[in-house]
Amino acid sequence: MSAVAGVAASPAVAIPFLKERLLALGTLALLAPVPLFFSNALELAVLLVYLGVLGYFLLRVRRGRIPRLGNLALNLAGLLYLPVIVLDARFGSHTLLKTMLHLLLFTTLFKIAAIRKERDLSLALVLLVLLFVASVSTSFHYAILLYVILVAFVAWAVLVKWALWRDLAAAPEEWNRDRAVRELPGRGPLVTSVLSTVLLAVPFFLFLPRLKAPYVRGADAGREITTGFSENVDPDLFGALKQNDRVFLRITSEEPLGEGAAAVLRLRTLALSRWEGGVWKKPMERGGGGVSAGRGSLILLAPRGRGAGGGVAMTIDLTPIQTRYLPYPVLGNALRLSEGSFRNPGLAYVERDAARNVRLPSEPDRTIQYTALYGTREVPDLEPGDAAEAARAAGSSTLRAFALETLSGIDPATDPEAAARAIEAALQRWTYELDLQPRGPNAVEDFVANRRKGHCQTFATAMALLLREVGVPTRFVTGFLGGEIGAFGGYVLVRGQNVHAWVEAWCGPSKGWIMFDPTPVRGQPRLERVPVSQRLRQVTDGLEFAYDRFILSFGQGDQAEILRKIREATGGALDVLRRTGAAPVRRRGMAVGLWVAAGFLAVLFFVRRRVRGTPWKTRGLAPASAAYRRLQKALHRLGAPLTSASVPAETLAAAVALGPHAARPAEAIIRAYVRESFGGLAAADGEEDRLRGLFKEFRVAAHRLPAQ
Amino acid sequence: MAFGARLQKLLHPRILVRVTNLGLGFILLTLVVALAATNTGNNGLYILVSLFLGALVVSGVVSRRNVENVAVELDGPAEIFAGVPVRFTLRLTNHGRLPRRGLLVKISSAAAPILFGRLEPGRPAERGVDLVFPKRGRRSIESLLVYSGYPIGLFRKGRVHPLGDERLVYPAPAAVPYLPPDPREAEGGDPRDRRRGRGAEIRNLRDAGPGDDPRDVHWPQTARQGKFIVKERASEEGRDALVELETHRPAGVDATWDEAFERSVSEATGLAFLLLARGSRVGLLLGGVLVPPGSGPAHRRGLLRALALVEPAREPGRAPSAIPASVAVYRAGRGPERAA
Repeated sequence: MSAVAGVAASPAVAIPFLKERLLALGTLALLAPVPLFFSNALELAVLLVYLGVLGYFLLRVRRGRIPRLGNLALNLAGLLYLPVIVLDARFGSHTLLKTMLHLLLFTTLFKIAAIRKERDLSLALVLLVLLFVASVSTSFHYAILLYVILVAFVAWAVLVKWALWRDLAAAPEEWNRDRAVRELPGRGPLVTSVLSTVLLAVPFFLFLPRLKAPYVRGADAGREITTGFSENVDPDLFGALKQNDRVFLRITSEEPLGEGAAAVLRLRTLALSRWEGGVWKKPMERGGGGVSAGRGSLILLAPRGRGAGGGVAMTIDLTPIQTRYLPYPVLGNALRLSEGSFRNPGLAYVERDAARNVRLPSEPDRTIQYTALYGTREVPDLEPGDAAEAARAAGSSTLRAFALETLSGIDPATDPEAAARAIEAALQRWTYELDLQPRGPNAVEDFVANRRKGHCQTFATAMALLLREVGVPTRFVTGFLGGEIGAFGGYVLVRGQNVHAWVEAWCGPSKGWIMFDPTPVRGQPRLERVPVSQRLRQVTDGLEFAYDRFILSFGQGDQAEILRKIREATGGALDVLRRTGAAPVRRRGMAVGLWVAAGFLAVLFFVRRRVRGTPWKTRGLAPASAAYRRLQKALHRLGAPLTSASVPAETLAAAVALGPHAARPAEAIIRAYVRESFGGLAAADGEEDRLRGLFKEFRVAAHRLPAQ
Repeated sequence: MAFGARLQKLLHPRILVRVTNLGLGFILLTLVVALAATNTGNNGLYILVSLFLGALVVSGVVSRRNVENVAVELDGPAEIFAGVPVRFTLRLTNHGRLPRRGLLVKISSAAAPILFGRLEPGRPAERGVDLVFPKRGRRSIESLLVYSGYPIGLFRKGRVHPLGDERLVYPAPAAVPYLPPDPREAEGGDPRDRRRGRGAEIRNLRDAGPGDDPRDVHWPQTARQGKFIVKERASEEGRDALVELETHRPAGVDATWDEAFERSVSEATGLAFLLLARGSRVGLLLGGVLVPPGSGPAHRRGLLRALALVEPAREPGRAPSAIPASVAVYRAGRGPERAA
């Protein structure tokens, strides 16, 4: 090759394809910071200024007037921006993240406007990538996936051309000469490449090592979500929670959750017994039994093991609700958690307290999943537990008078259940109203004596205090009731408006704690299907929940869970194979299945061959033609660029390339073929054997050659 | 393809791989983002790392497939002269099932790449390419490099396609600085003995006859004699000629002698062409080696071949004894002489 020199191409320009590359960079620069605004990491004004300046720059580039800032301008801009950083950090953004993002945007703009060398283009690309990484890492909305895929398409198309521009730097005229290259990559390859990348990314995402708990702090950070499950439940604030339409739980079940399953979807989260200063307070944390909960072990909800472990499985995905307490169905009898449910898999245990609350060792900071097993009836809770605490009356004469009046003829000491039912019935006749106005220190008395209007928490508080006044220990219970049946069925979304309160009253050693719900039926949340007009919102909420649960909150525990399932599935398959002798029915079924699968594959294979053709078919051919076809096939397998349409001369040339030992028998076969096909001469007796021998001789000679 | 051959192809694919600067930057970026993801537990960063890794894999696979199963041919003219651009035809054929994109071909490291934007399966694509062989003699284009940065320029992959195309490069004919005088003038003689023809020399004056070219009218004589007189021209055809080239390389000379020798070879070629064009039968005397005079395309190629392969000799060649006196000998690098 040193003896040859190509005719010199046109003289190279300083930066070839500068205009095209700037436009490509500009397109990426327009897209890169957009999610920052939606994740509240960037102010709208800053984003608009950035996009405006960039757009103006790109317009000038399109018109061929490429601005190039000099060193003086760059240095001046840098110096002028220094005080801006200080002011920005002090008085503007107040967060380091925003200040840095402003700086990054500023630097990107000036870099793109000052491209003078090839290296400047690479630096600009690096800055854009940093912007892109910042956008993705600060966003906690599922729409970021759509954005990432959009950028993947755009970036792939840009990079294909970028690679060509780099390679053609020495011959830029080639770009203008070849129209086909300007259409690269083409729609088909672009879609295939990006989708392949996305598909390949899935196993990488699932199995890349996680050494830390997932970081899920997002836009909601710092915004207090006052849930009814926090340490203290203030009746005045409880109502605000019911106006929150955020999804708190997503529930699926082995049995379909239709409108008739409302009773199943009463989830008990926190039972409180201490009423102090007009506020329900969390139970004193003194011992509760700790139960190891890792690796899917069962946690019985009935302390004495009654009704253990049986029933239907309900899977609950719980978002962080600022409490350690786990909601579970009142019909539930056991819970099953996995390592993924715990922030620290080393501390995989739950505690049960005297009020039959179940709590984790620490408050989850991300969506967790666990399973509850439930039946058709409540498992009786016959343990008195914190009955003593729950019996402390408020000492209100108003409440006592009302209770006694309502219970006329019923002795709460002998029949507490009847007493509770009477009070429940009385309260249910009142009016439900979601009134958020604070009521002051005697709110409950005022409610009972005068207003008789309120929301569930008011009714529950009233009933609890009324029953305590007549000596019936009663707990105030918060949880969830009802939900929205998913748009595509199969799951239920539980929102803020499904938060509910009721009571549990101790009805004696034989009946234990029994649940009562004094809220008027009209005010009780229901399990319902949403109207079509709200389906879209439900779908987006469902997507957001799924994104939060399966992607943002994906952690080590989830990986362990996946591996465990793979191990189980693999082990189960191996067990089935091993135990085929012991399970003839299953073996027969497996054998049938295997035969069907083999048959299907065979059909697929033959159909494919039929459709594509069998290029080396020899059936039905005359002896010399068949031998010739076999020779071609053998040569093709040895690397010769032959097809079944190759002429004898090409076939002979391919054989000659293998050397004289292989060429001699090949030539004889080809001659015979030519005689037969073109000479019209029929094969002589013994010709087939002779050809077979020649082919064998050829194969021996060909395989003795070193591999090509 | 046999299993062993396939395995060897997989293990030693003979595909050259270079990671580009962009590819290095991309890998570094992936590592940095992976580190950040591991340290923060941010699943958004894990998404990015996963996509980057996926892109690396897809890019690697696609770029490799893009340069496989591509056959290369280079066809050129039969006559190639040193230093003169010649048009070759570069043909790429895609034997794969999928189109190939963004293929670049380099014939030499100094040459600009030639782009084939899209190569459909089964269909060849051709490009004309001008090549220059700087020196005469046996020269070969041993191989071509077909490479591509497709799809996204993280890797540049290519294959060297051996061609083994050996060519004989003839010396470029130099413009002869003088027209060699007709050797017949040196020996004298009556022009009328020469053959009739259409040369510049006037052989005779005669009366015009039917069929004479009006341009041959000799007007002064016509005016003097009162009748049309035409010029009868002599044939341009010369006699046999030998172009002589001294090949003896004296001891102790430097590269300037070699340069002068090459110029002499070019001049000899130019002389031979000129004489052949005038109808002479031309031969060569290269040192002691004689190529007898002849004419015609085959002889012409023979002359060129001999001039392409002539090399300086350490010893002076022995002049052949039997050069007829009528054969004109033209010495390249010096004036014409008549053989003694």
